[in-house]
Amino acid sequence: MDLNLGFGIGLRRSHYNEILKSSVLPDWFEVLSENVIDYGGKTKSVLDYLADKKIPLINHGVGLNLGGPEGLDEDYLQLLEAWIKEYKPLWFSDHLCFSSLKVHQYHDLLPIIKNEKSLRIITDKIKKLEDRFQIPFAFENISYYGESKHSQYSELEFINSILDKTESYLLLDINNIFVNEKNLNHNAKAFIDGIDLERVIQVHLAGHWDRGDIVIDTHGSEVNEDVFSLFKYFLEKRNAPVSTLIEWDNNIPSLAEVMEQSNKAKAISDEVFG
Amino acid sequence: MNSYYDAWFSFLKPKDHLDIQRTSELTGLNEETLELYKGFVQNHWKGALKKMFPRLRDVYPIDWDEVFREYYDLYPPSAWDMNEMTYSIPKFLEDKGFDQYLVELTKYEVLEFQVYKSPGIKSLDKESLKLNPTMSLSMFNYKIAQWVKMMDQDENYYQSLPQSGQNILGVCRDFDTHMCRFTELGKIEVAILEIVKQVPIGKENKVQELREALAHFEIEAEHKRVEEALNLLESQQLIY
Repeated sequence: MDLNLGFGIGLRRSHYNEILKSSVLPDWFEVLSENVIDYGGKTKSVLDYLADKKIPLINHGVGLNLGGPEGLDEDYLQLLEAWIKEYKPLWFSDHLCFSSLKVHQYHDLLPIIKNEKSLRIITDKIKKLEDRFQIPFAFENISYYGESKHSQYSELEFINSILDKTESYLLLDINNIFVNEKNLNHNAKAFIDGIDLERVIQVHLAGHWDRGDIVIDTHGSEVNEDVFSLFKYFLEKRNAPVSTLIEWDNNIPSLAEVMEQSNKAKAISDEVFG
Repeated sequence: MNSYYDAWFSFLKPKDHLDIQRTSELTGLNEETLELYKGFVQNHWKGALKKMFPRLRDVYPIDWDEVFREYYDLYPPSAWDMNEMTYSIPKFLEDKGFDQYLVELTKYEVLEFQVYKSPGIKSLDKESLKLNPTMSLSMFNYKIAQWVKMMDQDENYYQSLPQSGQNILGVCRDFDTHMCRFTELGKIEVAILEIVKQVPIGKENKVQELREALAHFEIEAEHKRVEEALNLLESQQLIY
């Protein structure tokens, strides 16, 4: 199965009307699971329109709560399952984080503690997802702003351990690697060098905000040139093109402007692979 | 839960949270990091409220930054769809003693979102009358729909108050534009909706069948009145 979908963008409500009128659309769209599962109306009509045009849709969530100590939410899984059955994404993904505790939903990507117990919880959940959905599952490396002193693994060791213990894939967010290098003194290139790049199913590129004292992963601007350079480094190392997506969630410009960023990523990929 | 996640939970509680120094000890994260994340989470919680009630914001200077802790303490942010965390705001404002018309305005805004989101789809059965699958009925004590319509046309109405008067609104999503429709309904229209929900009414003799069903409920209505009511309900897509 060819899992390289080309160059996509995140589907956002503010683009719905442009999408329905535009003759030029990206190769594929990534949809935020929480913004589409259990939605009818305009959202569903846009999804159906894209599905009719055979434009692949991949769902990416924040609600699986992979790192949280509680089990997977069955109600959420049932809605996700119905969506996956209808739109047949080639894979689905979520984040390496926790996003809820007890009944509280945080709607953010909060940093997990990287210890044995956490590793067991996360790998158990991923195995359950793989068994249930029968399509590849990918987890995304997040940007985070501090490492717990009680963690026993580095981020790279932890991700590689999950990949070793499951059949999952990595959704490699290049901007997050960059942000973590700035904030946590990680080495971005060493991180890329340390990953089994054949297990990278998809790449995210996004903008960030350098506040001076800290770099914040805002998804609210164009992709930084340094992030594009890191993307090029990744492609050269991987030595094969990969499904690449532009994320833009705040101060969202026109569809054409987001697609310009996607075209820029494509130009870099073309430069590497001819 | 282990101490890492217990500490996070207590630290992020809307009220009566664990102090930052103790959270830092338990999580092994520094205080600046914890403060940053708390800001992120609270911004999402507040942002959901601001986004859900734009008209309330236009007519009343509610300070969500002040209110959100108390709200989420009473109604925990338990929905993974951020918008759904706000559904209890009408009840919350009512209990806080807000003016009834402001409570009803938030009820209107919640309904508008619920209809926008509703997964209901049109039935393929063309033989009998069907209710719009997104339809709901709601009782108001102020003419909120009329007031919102005026405000949408002219910002000067932000300073006005809605007319009082009990009314029932039929709310549904337009099949073509996907926009929410609010329609003020009379007793006959409400009864017709209830009948269509319960009894199959063929499209061929719909007026006559509805008159007979209304009579069963001891509601006498002339042919013309039923026809008018049906026209309204069909033109507003409450039934099809």
